[in-house]
Amino acid sequence: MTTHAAETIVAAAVTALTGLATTGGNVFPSRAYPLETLPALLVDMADETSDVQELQASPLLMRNMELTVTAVATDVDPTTLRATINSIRAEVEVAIAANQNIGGAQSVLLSGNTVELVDEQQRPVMRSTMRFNVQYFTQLNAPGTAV
Amino acid sequence: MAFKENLAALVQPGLPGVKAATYAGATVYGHFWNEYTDPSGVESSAPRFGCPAANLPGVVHGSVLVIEGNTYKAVNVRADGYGWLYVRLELQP
Repeated sequence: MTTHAAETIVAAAVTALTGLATTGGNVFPSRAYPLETLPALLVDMADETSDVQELQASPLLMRNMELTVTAVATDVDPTTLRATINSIRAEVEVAIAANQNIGGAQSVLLSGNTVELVDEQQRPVMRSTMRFNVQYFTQLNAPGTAV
Repeated sequence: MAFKENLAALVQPGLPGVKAATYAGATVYGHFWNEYTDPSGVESSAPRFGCPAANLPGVVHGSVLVIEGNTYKAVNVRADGYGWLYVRLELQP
């Protein structure tokens, strides 16, 4: 099976984000099922755009992939809950800043954050989804290797 | 012919779904629901207590109920207009 460079990048992000002070080992790539233990991080890839950079025998593609990192936490105290989420955000941003070339990427830059507060269960849950723009290059015919 | 329902009869101990709750130092009875839910992508449940309003006099947001050994705070109090209260509960640590 051929590994796409995007897979290498997401896997490297999971490694970089595992062991942070607040979320520890609760890091889950592409998790489809409900979480059991909080706080936690969900890591996944989203949309990607690409553009030809050099016309040659095998054109060079510049790719911009969205990497999503969702912090999930719960607490009965709303101030503590928000503070926990913001602590996780800070830890994630520092970890990503220190790993700008994960999986061969040129850069991994924060592009936005979305916060959702859900109150339909026994305790409030806050989800904060950080979106990072991952820029990387591959040859047209070699998507498995970031150059 | 109009009639007045005896709400207290609906929460007699021993009836299916009826649980005892400690509220303001007294034992009161009502229906307790705590079914599974995961709207936030987290395994959880949605605890609620329903009873005649007379069973929870003065209940407001933050009022404490102890049910089956767990402590809950009221986070939403809904009166149905016919003498019945539904109270959404938040599980305390």
